[in-house]
Amino acid sequence: MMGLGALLCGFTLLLFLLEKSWESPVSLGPQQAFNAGSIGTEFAPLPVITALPKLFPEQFMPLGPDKGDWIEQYGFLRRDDSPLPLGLTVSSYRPQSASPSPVPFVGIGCGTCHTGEIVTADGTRTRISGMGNPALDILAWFEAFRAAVLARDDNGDFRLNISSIEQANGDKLGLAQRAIVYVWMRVLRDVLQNGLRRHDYPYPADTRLNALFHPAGPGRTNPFNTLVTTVLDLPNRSLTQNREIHAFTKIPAVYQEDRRKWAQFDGSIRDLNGRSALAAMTIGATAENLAHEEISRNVMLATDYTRHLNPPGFSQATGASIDNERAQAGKAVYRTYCFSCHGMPDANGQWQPGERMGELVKAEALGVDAERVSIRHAARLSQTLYKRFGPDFQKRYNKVHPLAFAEQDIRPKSALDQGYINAPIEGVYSRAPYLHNASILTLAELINLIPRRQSFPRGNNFYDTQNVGLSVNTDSAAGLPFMFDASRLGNANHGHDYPWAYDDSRRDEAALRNLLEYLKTL
Amino acid sequence: MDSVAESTSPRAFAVTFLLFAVMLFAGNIYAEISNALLFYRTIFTIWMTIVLLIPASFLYLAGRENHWFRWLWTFAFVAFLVHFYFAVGENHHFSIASVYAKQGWFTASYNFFITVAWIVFTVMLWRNPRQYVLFKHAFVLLLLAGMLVASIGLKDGIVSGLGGLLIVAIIAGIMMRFRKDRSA
Repeated sequence: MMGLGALLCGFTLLLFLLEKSWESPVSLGPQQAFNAGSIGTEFAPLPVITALPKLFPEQFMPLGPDKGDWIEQYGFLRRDDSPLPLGLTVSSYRPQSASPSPVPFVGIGCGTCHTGEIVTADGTRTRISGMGNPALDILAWFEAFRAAVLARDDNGDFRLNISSIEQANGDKLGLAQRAIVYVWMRVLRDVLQNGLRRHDYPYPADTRLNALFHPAGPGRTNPFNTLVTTVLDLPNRSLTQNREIHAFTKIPAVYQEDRRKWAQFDGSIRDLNGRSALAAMTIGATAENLAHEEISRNVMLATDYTRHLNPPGFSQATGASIDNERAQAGKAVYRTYCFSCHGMPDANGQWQPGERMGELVKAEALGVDAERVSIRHAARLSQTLYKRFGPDFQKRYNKVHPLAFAEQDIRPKSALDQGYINAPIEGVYSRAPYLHNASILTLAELINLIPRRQSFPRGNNFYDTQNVGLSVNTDSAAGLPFMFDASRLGNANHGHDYPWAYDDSRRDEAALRNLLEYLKTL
Repeated sequence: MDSVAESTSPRAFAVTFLLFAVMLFAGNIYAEISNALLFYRTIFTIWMTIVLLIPASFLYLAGRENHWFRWLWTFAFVAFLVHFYFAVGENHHFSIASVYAKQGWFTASYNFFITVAWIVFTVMLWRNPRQYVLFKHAFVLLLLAGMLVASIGLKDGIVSGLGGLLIVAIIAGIMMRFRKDRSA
């Protein structure tokens, strides 16, 4: 009896001491926290992430090995100092709990999605912190990850296992590391297999970047899908139609966030730290691990980084010049037709709000695709999220969540109140593709200077300095594998016909050219 | 009442120690697979303390201060110390000011007082088992009152159930004491 008691106590004490040695808190500055700080999104051990492309090339290089590596094919941004792309974080925290781990875990940091590159036809690349990454197909990448974790060999055994991981990396895992990776695989497989009823099996690997099978595509996510299904455990359905919702949402730029009273395309959250916390929740963070001292600090630091973040000027980023005379003429057009909703900088560069800036506008009034603001459970979700960080957390853990926000800082209160927010558009040249659903490649099309394309290829698109946005050319080996089709659900590119619709008799092409030139200066 | 020498009975020690170890192990494993490791470590160690206090209180109030009694009180104290480490050390980085800020003056003072008093109580159990009776009665009264308020008055769920069992143990212990006194 005493031996058993000593064994149990000894094991508990040993585990506790080992965990102490695994903890490696990191103190980062705002920019580092944005690019590399853990925000509680850890999802897989580092040795697994490095092994996956070798073990499952069909999943992680679905276009073939001659079309670039997984970083290029899925549109991540390469780093010189790491085999991982920019923004992927490495920490000693286990997923969801932030408990210490002997094996590093990889998470998705802010910089993964909110750092982009402008690649001009001469191959010049300008990396812009805060820009939404228009090339990143993160949902397809996660589907590849899900497929790899569930893949079995001819004998019915899982292909991803400790032995295959060690073989792929050419490196043995320690005992404690093996234990954690083993438990992680068991738990994740249970979750994924239980989720098959809702998500079904992954499509074959060669469909991974095909719009017919993975309709979100590059530069977009489906954030409400994760939140509704994981937080509410409900199907993500349309408010007005009895079907699944397709709320594809552009990965937004996060410049000058302090100017936005309400954040997100639907203006659903007023508290910036809360906004960041909810963004982290869409990729796996929990209220519990977001309360962890280092993680909550990183979230706040990364948020602070975006409060006054400015993009570089158009000429600096693209190498193209601006016709100042036309831009000056375009300013008057902007003031007449755009300023009211989006505001504009004054002579000192201070952004002056227009009278309708911050107003929530119904999709019907704008004429744009309504999927993003037709979430059946939007009100239930906002209320649940408020409680999860607020009263429920306080009641359960007897402390205030460091990222808690007030009830009046999240909306809608009724699902019928959803709409799009009128927001400032600093660095608008770097926000392509345009509209909330990334359905318009260039500003010239958005302002109806030229007709809007109904379909176009997407991936690592070159920048189009003439029409201001993305072109349909690339020098990437991966090419442009995703064919965007505006006729598909959630992809509509109509509406927002300002100053004039393309077929409006008042449409003034010269004025639009001037407006386009002015937009480059924002 | 047994002597101190008798109170070191290996069987009583082994059973109490095993009970303590199983709870510590199981609670820690549950905490490991939860989303809030430190929170559950803190919670489970106070649950362990109450579980051990249930028979300890019964024996104390029934006037059966035997070897089981001493080991149960001692391991309840050890469990409380582990809880104290997680609650104050890990949660508040041993900052007394932080504990006061979080818990408020009354609760924090009570908790610190009980911790110190329990140290004294435990030493007395082993060194002066028949002395300082008034102090011991006062301590047990204060401790059990605090545990009942915290478990039943302020919480629900499992800890509230444990508080209920503690009440049953207290009532049973007092009744046993009266019966013993009457028959004596």
